[in-house]
Amino acid sequence: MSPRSIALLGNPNVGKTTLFNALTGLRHHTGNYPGVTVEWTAGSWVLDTATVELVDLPGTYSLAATSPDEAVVAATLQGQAGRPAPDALLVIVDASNPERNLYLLSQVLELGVPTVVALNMVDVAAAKGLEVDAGELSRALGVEVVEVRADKRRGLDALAIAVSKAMQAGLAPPAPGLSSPGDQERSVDVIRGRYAWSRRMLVNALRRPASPLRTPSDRLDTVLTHKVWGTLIFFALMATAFQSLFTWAQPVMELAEKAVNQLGSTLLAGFPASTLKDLLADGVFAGAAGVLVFLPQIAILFLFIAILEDCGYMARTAFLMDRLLSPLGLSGRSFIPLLSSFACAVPGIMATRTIEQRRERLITMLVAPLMSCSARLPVYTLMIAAFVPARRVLGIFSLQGLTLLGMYLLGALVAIPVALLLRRRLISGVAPMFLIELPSYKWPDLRSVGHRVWSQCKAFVVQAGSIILSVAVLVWALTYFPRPSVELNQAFDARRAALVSISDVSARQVADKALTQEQRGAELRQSLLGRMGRGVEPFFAPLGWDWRISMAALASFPAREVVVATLGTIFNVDAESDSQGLRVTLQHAKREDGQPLFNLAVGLSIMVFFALCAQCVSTLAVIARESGHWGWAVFTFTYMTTLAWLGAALTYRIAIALGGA
Amino acid sequence: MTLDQLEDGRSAQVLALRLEPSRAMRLMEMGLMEGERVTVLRRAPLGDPLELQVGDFRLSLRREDARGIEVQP
Repeated sequence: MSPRSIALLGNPNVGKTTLFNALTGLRHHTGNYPGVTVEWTAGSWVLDTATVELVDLPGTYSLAATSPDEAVVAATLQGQAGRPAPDALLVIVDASNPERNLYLLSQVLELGVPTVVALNMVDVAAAKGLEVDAGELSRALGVEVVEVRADKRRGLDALAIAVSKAMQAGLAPPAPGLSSPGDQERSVDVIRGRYAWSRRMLVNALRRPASPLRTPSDRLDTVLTHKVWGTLIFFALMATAFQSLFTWAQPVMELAEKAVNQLGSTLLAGFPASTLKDLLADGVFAGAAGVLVFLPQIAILFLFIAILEDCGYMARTAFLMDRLLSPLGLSGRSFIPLLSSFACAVPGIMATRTIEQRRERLITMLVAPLMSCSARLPVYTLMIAAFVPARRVLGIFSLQGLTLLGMYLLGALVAIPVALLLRRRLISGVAPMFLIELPSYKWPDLRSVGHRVWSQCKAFVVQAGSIILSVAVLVWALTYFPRPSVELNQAFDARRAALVSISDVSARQVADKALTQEQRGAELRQSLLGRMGRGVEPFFAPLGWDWRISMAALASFPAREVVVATLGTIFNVDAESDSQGLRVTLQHAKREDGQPLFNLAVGLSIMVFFALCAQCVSTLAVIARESGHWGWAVFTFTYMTTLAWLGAALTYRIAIALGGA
Repeated sequence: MTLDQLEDGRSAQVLALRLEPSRAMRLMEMGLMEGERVTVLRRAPLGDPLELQVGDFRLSLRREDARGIEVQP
């Protein structure tokens, strides 16, 4: 027999997740409700008599469904969400805001399911001068009311006993009888009736001061939302977050990547040379490194978000930034996800979870990859250093710097019409109202913060990681097969044997390395990917590209920065150790007719293409996961590739016309 | 007058919600309805949205929605 299940529900911002974590520990399982992108989380709660399953429902103000979250709560309570109806309900009530919290309770009590109330945030209430007597409230309601401090793990045993008793008795709670079947639940009279009931229930249970007290949280809010100070503090916080994502995560990322590759080569050292060894080393381990490399940024961003959200500041960031984003059909809640995407779209898209409105969340997710992420930087730097003249403009600005700035602006500017079009065309329906509660400030609960960071990292590795790894292996196979012909290998073997005649040891090593590089280039050029490069050459010709550039662009599907290493291999240079050499090689590369392959126009067209394209399988995997549909990932890839191609072709034409050849 | 015209720090009584029905209902469910008092605490640095005190909690609404809330200071 499956364990009995208890649903935990309550308003948003009442410490529900903290209570859930306190009751169930760290072992949770999650899943998606069928058809909607709302996630459920469940864990085991040990009561004195039995272990039950506790299901954490999304925070909701009402059971009269207006949002997907609320619809899920209502459906779950009636057993219509692909899970059996709960055997008992645990409703968490915020003592600092009792009337509005009892509004939801009045609807819950009418479901006829055994119910227990957990009275939380008594400390916040005390700061406001509000005092709620749990005993009096319990007498008025006719259900058990247990005072808890979720953050301090207090009152949890009493809560377990109350729930277990209520479940054993199995009695329906006294219904407030405020709406009879057939009544319009959201009629003015019913809503009024519910608030009147809330006040009746609180007559003896609630004591409030003669006039409202000014709390430390109120004083803090005055500063943090102040026109000058609030704005300054906000930008200082954002700068710190961005800096840590962009710069501080870098060494950890490199370390993670190196460690995995090192582990791979150590483990595989004893293996005889074989296809399997190559697959493991260059496909699987390199792919795994490509997954783990995202973890430092995801961890840092979610540490930051979890702290801001838990202490109540997250809602203020939406309040402060809303005006900037409302013209795009977005709201202030999109600011942090979009800003983070300038470092990396993967954590940025994951951060859209903080946006409650589905439409807004989807638009943010779909334009986030247009923000110029750090993986584009190697492409920009290589092309700028090689093909943009180091000139001054108007005496002070460097042309190279301006080009880089232009690349960063390009994505952000293109995102504006894309967001507007998405709002009008693709995602229909009435725009929901911007309405956010600004909760009281409190110290973040470190256990909840840690738990959030951990679960996000885990979800990424498990769900997006497998897709990223598969694509890495697939692209490896395209560059690996077919194996070079016997003649090609023999030719290189003969040349390698001839190197013995070089007497100077270091000169011989240099020659040997160059030969290895040349052999890798020759192998890549005859691989499946090389043939695909020739196949798509006509498609990329309007961009000024030849088959070698086309092939490097194809090879960069797993991640944009791969294009640099691939260009290196194609042109027989080790891009990692010899960036100078790669630059010079590219400057001198020739087309088959002897014309220079690259010039300013081609360099710009490559940069614009990479600024706008979706050559990043990790981003696409995360979009698929977070939106709940592969279709959105396909859509993103299609629209971005189209924009990238058009933008690059246009740039090439204009640059040629202006004499950039 | 409407709520968006109320100065920072002033409170008023709600007379009517002239909003699209689902928006009006949502506000009522949160306790912002005819007869209740509401205070405009401040506006965001860029002038929009507003920060309001409704009952025992704080809420942020855009000016376009505040324009639909008729109040009596």
